[in-house]
Amino acid sequence: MKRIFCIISLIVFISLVFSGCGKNMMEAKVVTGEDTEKVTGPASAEPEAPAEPEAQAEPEAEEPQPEPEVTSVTQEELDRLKEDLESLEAEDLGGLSED
Amino acid sequence: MKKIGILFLVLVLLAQSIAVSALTAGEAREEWKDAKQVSREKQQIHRDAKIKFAGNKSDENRQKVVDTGKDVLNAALDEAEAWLVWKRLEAEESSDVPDDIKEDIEDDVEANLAKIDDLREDVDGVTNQLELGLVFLKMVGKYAELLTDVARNSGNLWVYKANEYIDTINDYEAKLRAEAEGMDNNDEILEKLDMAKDALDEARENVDKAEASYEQVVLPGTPLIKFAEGNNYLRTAKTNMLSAHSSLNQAYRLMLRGG
Repeated sequence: MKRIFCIISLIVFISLVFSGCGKNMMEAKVVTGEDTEKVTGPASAEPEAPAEPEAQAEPEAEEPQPEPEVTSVTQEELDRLKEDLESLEAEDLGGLSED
Repeated sequence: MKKIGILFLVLVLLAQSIAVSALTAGEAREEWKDAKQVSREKQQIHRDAKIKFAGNKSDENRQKVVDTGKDVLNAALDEAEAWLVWKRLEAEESSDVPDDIKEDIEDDVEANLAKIDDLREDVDGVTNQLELGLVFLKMVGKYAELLTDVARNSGNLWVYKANEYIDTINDYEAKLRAEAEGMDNNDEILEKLDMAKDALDEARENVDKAEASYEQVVLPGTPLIKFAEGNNYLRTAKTNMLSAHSSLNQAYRLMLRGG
């Protein structure tokens, strides 16, 4: 009985910790959004950048037709850049008025 | 059994505090916006109380003015505190920003959070309208002090990021142009790239203007006005960059189609 109680308390503890910290890691990834490959990606051309498709997660393998390696800039890089640009937000301060 | 129960409770409380303290910049920003909203509401309630007191100078209405006034001041301090916490987290989460900017923000945040605690004590000590008026005046001045340094450093952080993004867009534009020039039927592609370049030039100008405004976020002066001015330029620069990105994207797709 004691052992079961200890196990349950440990599980609850770990789940609470991960529910807070896991959210933190995910948000940090979304907020910063900048990864090592973002800026000045040199010629590491990843050819899997089709014109239209979903390209949201890593467009790894599901290309029905292999797109020609046309450019050294990929759709993924362009999409990531857009996310970064959209995250740039300059907010004004409220201030305290005298009236 | 009793000891195990206590241990369980301690673990749960500890885990809860760890989970809560794992606040992200995004969450902190939302908390600041909520605090800002509350602050606006408290200000309105206080204005209403003053109007009511002007019509009927009863002791009850007088006390209401004092109480709502204290609420306004506390709400303003909550707003300032929430903003500082957000700025600290934003700096911590910005992995590619120079350490000196991050450290400046963190140091200024810590110093100003301590000032907020002192100001709360001043507010708690208010018992009548005269004291409320004096503390209010003190707060209006202190409010700008609380936020100026961190505002300026935040502006510098955003300028740094914006310049990084400009460099990236410039880099992509140059690569696409170099490849497009070797293609047939590339007129439309080059036109899109020219549009991207023009938008990028505008973005650069606006980021420079934003930087100049942020440098004037100092006391004495009008730091919060300058901060808002810098923010306006930065928002315009963001629009320019998104426009440049859109043109790049269109050029890219044309290149994939072969012109």
